[in-house]
Amino acid sequence: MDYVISIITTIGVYAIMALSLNLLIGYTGLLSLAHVAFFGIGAYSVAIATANPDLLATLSKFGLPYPGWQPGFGAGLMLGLEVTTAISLVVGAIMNRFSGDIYCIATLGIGIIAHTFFLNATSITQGPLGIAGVVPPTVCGIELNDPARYMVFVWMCVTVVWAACLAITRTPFGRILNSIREDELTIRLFGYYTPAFKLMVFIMSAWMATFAGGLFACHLQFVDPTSFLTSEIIFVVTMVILGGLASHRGAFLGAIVMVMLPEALRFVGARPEYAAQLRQILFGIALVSLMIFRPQGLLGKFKM
Amino acid sequence: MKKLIVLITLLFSVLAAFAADKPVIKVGVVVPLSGNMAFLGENARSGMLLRKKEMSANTHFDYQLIFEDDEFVPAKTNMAVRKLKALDNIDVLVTLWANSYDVAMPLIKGSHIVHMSPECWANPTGYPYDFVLGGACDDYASMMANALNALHAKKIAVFSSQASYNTLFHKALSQKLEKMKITIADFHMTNSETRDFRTYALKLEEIKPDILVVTAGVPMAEIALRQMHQIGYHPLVAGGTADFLDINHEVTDGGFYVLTIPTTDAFEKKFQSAYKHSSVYPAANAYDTLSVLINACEQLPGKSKPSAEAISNQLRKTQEFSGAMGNTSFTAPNKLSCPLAYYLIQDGKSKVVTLDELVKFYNK
Repeated sequence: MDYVISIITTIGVYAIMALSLNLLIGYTGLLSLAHVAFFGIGAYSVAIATANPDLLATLSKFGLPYPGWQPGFGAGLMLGLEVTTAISLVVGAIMNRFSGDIYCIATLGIGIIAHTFFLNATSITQGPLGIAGVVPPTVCGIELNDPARYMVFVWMCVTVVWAACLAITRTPFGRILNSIREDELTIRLFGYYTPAFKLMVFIMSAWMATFAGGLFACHLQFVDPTSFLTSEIIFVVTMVILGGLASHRGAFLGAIVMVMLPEALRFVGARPEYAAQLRQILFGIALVSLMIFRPQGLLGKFKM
Repeated sequence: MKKLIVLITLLFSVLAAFAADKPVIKVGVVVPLSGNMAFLGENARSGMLLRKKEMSANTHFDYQLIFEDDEFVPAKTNMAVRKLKALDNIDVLVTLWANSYDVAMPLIKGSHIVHMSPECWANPTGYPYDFVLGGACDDYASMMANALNALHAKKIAVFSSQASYNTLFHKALSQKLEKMKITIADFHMTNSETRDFRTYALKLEEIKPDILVVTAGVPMAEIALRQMHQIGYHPLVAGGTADFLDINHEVTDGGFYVLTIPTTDAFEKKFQSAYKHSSVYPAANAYDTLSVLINACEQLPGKSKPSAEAISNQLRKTQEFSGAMGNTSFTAPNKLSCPLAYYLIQDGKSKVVTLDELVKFYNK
């Protein structure tokens, strides 16, 4: 049961990532590969706040995360959101100058910079050693160190994020995002200053990724730089495209497929000598087949 | 006649029911079997399978090995451990290296599963069923520091790359060198993508360290050393990690390194015969891990499956266990260590030497 609960929790965490990235890729048409940076910031912030209170005490001298903090998930999340806001403001403003492939490559650079920082800033992140002993939060007096309770908490957070995404996309703000995706120049001619909208959605999406990172750290109870390689963002982008662009339900479905499929393949029953490699091959074939027969994704409205 | 056949069948059925199956000890093993570290995980798996194949039929218990791939990614290690624990009901968990150890520990605590971690340089937690096997960073750092001191090095340089083992090793080494009043004149950290070390080589040539301690792996370390030779600078190199073995001896000739003693010839022969290639370092340690476990369990009565406490108590009684990596014994509570040695590289070959022999060689 613990295993099944863990899979459901992992789906929840990645569903938040997929929903956040879908706002950018699906609704605004911005293929951003920077979200692994914000995911990592969230994870490390929570890890530092729960497992390294001395470092948090040092950061509090600079006013982070906020006066009167208590070490824990809340402080970590607040720290992560503050750092993410600062970084995404700057990065988002710079990225607004780019579009298309250049935007994608530039955001990839942000992800690589973030991973390099996590790996080398040993005084903050402990470098390749990682941070162990991350403690799940206590919410309203209820300790969430039980896997089932933590799963419920994660899915409550997923519901909140989903509601937020629905609120963003079903409002005039959301319609402008769609217009930017379709034809940015035309919407500018109507008098909408699109860089401001792109920056706002980038920041909101980064917040959600940071939140997902914090939940991820508490789920694994360990954080290290190998969890935030470029392959991680490729994994999440695949979820979004597979599930279908500009579809919140598609983002969910993409998360479910991408998390469950490799785990289901553990039970294929292949000989141990090549079971691992066979899993990778079958996983690749499944993805390619889906893209051939359903290029718009499972529930998508349009192709990339 | 019919009645006779029925009677005989019944008799055999009753006898079969009384012929008790051996209790099964399930050993879950989480190693990378795909991805960048697959070649090491495959070697560890090969070592364990070799040991299992050698088991005689006359054991108290059956040992079932269940391998799960984690691709050396913490999230997948987490899933693999949970699957082994919840679905396979393992009795013993084996994880390789410190990062997997850190992921597995919170999942294992309180679950009465024995945890054995070969090639792990972390110190065991207070969990009573947790065992760490292999060389400790402190021991490597001590030997290296003793060698540097014996060779009268006053100023050294370090060339390293970002890996969790290196971070721990350097921390331990720095502390020991500080006490010996040996200065680290330069500490260079490279990443795996860098290929141009000429500026670094020129800088080292200016600093002129007595010894260059290399803990970066291939290809960075080999390229850096070759580029140093190209500019005419030939430092005395000392290797602190197993990665040093992969560097072509052509560029490290005349240097030395610290490593576990060579795997026994008997083990190498068996491994080559079974798998048609030489073993790579986790293979022997994984082999010994299973050997130590089997050795401990077979001391227990075999009527029913032993508890984690019984297995752990028996494991702690392991003294001077002679395995593929020499004599393994407890150097600290729940910490099984294999002996280390100095290796001198001469004429393209490595040979085990004592510290005195090393000092004599360099004093020539």
